[in-house]
Amino acid sequence: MDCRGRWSNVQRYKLQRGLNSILFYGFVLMLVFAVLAPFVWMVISSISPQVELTKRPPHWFPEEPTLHRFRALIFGAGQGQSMPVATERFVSALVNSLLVSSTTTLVCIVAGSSAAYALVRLPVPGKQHFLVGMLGAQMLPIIVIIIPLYLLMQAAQLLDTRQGLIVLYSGFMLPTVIWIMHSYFQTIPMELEEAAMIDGCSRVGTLVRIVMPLSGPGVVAVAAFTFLSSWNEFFIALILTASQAKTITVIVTEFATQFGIDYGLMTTGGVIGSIPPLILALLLQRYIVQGLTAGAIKG
Amino acid sequence: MSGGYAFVLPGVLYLGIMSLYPMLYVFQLSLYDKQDEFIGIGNFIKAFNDPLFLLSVKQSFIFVVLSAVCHVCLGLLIAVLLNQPMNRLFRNTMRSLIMMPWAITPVVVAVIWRLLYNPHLSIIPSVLESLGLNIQWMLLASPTLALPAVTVANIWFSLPFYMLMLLASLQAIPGELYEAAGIDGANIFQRFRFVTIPHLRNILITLFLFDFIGAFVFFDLIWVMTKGGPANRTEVMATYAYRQAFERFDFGYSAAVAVLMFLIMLVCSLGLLLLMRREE
Repeated sequence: MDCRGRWSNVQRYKLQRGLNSILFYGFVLMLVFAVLAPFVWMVISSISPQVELTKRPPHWFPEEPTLHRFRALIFGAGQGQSMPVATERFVSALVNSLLVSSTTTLVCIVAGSSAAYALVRLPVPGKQHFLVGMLGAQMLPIIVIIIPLYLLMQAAQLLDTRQGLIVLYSGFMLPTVIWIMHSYFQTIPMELEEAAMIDGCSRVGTLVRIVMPLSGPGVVAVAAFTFLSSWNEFFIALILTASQAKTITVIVTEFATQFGIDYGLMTTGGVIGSIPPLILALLLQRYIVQGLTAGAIKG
Repeated sequence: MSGGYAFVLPGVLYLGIMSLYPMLYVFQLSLYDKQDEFIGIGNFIKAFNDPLFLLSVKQSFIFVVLSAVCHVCLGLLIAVLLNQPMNRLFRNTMRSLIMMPWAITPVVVAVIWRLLYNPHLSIIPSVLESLGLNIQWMLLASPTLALPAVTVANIWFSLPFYMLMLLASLQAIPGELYEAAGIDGANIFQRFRFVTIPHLRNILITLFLFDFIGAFVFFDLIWVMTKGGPANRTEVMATYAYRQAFERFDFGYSAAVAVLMFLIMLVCSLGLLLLMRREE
């Protein structure tokens, strides 16, 4: 009798714990769903036919999902279809964004790693001033200094060119890149480099063969961060580009027709534009978080 | 010696051309009017006499403070939740998923929320209706609700970043401290109040500062969502400065607004840093 009662208490306890953890996991799932729902709604809208977009009441999944907007944006509008002007420019904007972001990343890694390396290893006079100056530059918002930069680009005849965007983007990301690389390079033991130099490696050789591979996670994080930031950049692109060099962020805001905004195409553009950053972020999550924590918390 | 210079030179050049020169130039520009006449502090006087400018300062502060407070509080809440003991795979999956909004382009975030705030295209009104709430869903057209609506979009957008930072700091708190507090009879709230909060104090202030600076100059979201409207009720300093320069072509006045932005940010940052140092 006594024994049976105790047994049921244990059972009750286990049941209670099981229920609690189901509730807990359920709650976390719901929270994550709530956070993701806005994005999901954009994806759903992009594959809903025009009629279903404004249908009341709306449903979560379209009855006849369609990819015709994706086709229109990537392969161009079909005969007789009237589409906003931005539709034709979409592919060229996509190419612009890809070219600008990858070149910016390359420039930042090359210039940033050499500067960071020198700051760690070589006797550079005024090193401390430079580091402080970089921190200051990191704090300086683009919006405060956009007018001089615009005038500078105008004088250099770089308005509405990809080169102009690359110059400005790398300029803005370089301080952050140098800062993070600097903190990574500091963790690499000097002896390895000395050994390489005894074996006849030059300074540049040591940097390329020893230091860069050893700070792999740092380099990956910085590259991903630079690519993401240039891909996402809107303000400079809005001001500097007029037609030729428009990037994807600018084109996404331009899906207006004479009847108003074409939300269907706008969401489709948004979905396509989110693909590269989302893939990068998911693949490199660990590195990005590491790099950001190093940069943001220590800095 | 010269080798060192060659390595640093690209960085120095960029820094000079991209930061130092423009900063000095903005200060100089702010003293000239539209016709390139030197007017001293005329532009600054003009700004303080412009009700629209003062409105944009006020709205900037509402946007920034509301965003930062919600980021830090909600971020901490979710971080604590994800820091509870749970299945590892589940935790990692949830963490990756919840990071998604942060990776999305700000412009696309604006598109998403324009969609959600649109009375004809959004799913929210019908969800509310099924809960028995009949609300007129026209947030971005409403002078009173547009600013909170834009702020909510901003909170959603960078919440994951703050959550991740706080989660990383939470994981750095030694477990023994909680055990010790438990032995001393502290309940879950007391443990949060007397172990977690003191440990996170500095990172909380740092994140607040970080957010403050970031949101203060954040242009993309508001511009794509409302362009400062309706009736200027979402105009912030960033959109105001942009309008003066690239719609009215009054570069001098816009530069003055930029200088004021810079000064406000400087003063607020120093204040927060002092707060951090003093109570350490």
